[in-house]
Amino acid sequence: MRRSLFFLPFALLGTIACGTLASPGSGDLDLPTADVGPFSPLTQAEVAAGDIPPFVFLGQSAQYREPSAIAASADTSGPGVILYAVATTSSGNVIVCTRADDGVSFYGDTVDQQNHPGDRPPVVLRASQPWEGADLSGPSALRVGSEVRLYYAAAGGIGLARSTDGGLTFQAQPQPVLAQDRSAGWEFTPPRAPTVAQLPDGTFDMLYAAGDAIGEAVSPDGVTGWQRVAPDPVLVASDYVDPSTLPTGVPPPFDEGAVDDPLLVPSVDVAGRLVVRVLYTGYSAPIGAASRVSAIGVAARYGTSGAFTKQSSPVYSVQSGEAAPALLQFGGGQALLYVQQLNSTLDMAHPFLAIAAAYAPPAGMSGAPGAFPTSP
Amino acid sequence: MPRHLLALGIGSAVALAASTAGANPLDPFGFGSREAGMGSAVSADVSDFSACYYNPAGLAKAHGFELSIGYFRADHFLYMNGKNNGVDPVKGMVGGAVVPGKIFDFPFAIGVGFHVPDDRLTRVRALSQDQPRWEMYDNRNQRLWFGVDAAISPVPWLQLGGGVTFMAATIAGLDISGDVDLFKPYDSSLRHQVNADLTLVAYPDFGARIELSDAIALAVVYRGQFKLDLNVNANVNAGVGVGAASSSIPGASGDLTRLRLALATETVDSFLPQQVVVGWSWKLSDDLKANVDLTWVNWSAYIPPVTVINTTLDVPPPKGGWPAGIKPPTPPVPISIVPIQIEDRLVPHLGAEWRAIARPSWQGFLRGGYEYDKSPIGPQTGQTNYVDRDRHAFSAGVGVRFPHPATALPGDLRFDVHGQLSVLPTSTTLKQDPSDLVGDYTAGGHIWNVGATATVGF
Repeated sequence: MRRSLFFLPFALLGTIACGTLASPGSGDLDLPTADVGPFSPLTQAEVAAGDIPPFVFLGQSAQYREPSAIAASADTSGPGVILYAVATTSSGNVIVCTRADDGVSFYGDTVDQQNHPGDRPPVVLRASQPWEGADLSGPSALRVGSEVRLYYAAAGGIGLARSTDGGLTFQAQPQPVLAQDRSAGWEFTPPRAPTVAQLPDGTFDMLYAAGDAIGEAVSPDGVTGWQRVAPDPVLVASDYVDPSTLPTGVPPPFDEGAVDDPLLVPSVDVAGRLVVRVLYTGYSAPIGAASRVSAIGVAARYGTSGAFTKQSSPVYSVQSGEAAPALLQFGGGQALLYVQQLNSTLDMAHPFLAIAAAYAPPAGMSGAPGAFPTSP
Repeated sequence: MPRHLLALGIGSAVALAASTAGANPLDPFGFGSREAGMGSAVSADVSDFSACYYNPAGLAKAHGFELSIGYFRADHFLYMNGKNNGVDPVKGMVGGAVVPGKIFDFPFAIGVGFHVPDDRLTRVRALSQDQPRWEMYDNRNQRLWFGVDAAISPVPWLQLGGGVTFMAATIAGLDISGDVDLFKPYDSSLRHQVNADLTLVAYPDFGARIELSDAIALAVVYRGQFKLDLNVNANVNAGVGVGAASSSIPGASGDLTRLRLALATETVDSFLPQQVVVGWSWKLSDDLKANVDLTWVNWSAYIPPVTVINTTLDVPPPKGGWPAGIKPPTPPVPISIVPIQIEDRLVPHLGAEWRAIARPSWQGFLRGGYEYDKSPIGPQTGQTNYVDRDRHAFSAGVGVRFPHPATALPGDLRFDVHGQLSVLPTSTTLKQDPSDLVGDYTAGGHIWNVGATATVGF
């Protein structure tokens, strides 16, 4: 009896050890990230049933493009998103609005319309002011208190429309907030593709594209008093690199032709530093080149002024005409990137522009796509 | 030769022999509950199965055949930006045996020791150098450890021992063949075949123990460098077309061309640097011992588990060129690996054991220890994110010993338990480049390690 008791602890240890279940490998949960990529195109399991990834919002005639995203509500734990995009209509290019509660199933998408033909994204802004010409482009939506502001580009520069009903209807201001500065040599086109963000000190910062570069302006209230911060652009194309001078397999800079479509993503990080990040479209050749390849890059700076530092590699590159990034950050470390991209899945001979989505971090989106909303 | 000079000579020889760099689950969490409870400061004060790790020379001090078995579990609570990163626990059985004897009247012993994780025998993981990871705790401690050692005592005041420790390396191949549908990639038909071999690698360890007096012993130990090579070669040979997946393989009617991709990856996983330990044990009284170990760890030779990828891609254009909207794939951009900034470290271990109860039928022991691991990894202000923090490990343990508990058990019966709290103070990593895709982050946390060991002597 006593001898057997001596071996009881050994038997107990063995039982404990052998009865322990295996677990899947871990160690990479909730890793720190700047939330600006790199992004992976959505997969079939991550888009609405019927959509072909990575496209999430397409209409063959409307050619939805140049997206701008804002969270659908103040609660950013989920991927609910309101998306503004440019659409082609018979009366010119307009700005439409759509919504997805899951970040990917957009009201009025072609697949949604197959089941609900009446679900058409409403036009929230069309050219109505003399300075605008016939077409609008480059929407940039921003929540300021209870108001939704929509900055946009038109023939005469950058304009502002304001909404007090949550972003479904907008009232455009009669004059542009930023017109072309013809004294600046690099602004050889009217300013376009605005992006506006409110900084922690309450002021407003705007980046805009003009020519082949990106400039910056600031305003105390985001409505009036926009002033350029410098006569020179704040972000330019990378210097040309002779490919023959590069090691085998190393490509030249992806943005040595032009930079365009900035998207401001300011944040205060865990160290208390203000980091102003910019997603942008980089082109391999300048405006007007016969062919050029695009990719989405990121640049950033600490603080409210100074030069931007670029990441040398793009954060999204699929060689399908990707451009005009929009971003939704949610869930404390997840991000959905929306871009315009050439879609050849319906007609490979005649690709058209549509909104594609990509995700970061690389583990992929959790949860299956939900249903299409019943209203925009 | 005076024994002090001999000790100095052995120590110098070991130090000179050290030329290249390790850590394993036993380094941070100990091997055996008595030893873990004493902060692993036991190189001059060990004679059971754990001598296979701490100092094989100690085996020669064993008095009889011993069997030991135990279990420990170390749970990580490691955080970046205040979020638990879910680093896997290290847990599993430990144990071993010591078989003493004599060779030409010299005391001699053979020992075996093992740590068998109960989740997996080994784990290999290769991450990109910019992905944040707890470099010292995430993957490298997930491994089987097995040591075989022998020791001899040529004179009563000297014990010498050595042996080898085994681990596994992985060589793998991946072959993929079939057809890829350009427009419906999820309808593509691909077959894959994986071949993997687990092969053994070994590293040496040896040590010496010198009794300078009845109360003082000195130890010198060398543990060799260790690394696991993970090599994966992948070959893809696929037809590329439109609707190809519905066709026969290969040469489907829809084939546009054939894609041939050869990818070879080379990763050094779980590198363990070589170590040299110098230890002392003082018997302050019949009931009290105080031990100190100093471990030099050759971290500067460390090779981080970052994968080197060599790719060859051959995709000839189809007759008539690529269809509109199709861009031929391009090889991945070669990765430029940033050298890790890492330095050698001297790790102090302090331990004490007090025989608090001494009765004829049983004895009770209280133990305590402390270890300070200053992180060898430099500030991660650039592209890499090998996250680590200094570690303060406080340990405590209790044990009971039953001398000659039964006629069938003429040796001792011992039960030991331990607890160890490792504290990694939180600090902030500041990135120089504002466009860094990870950005600034805080990191820190703690690790709980508990375990028990039972030993029976015959």
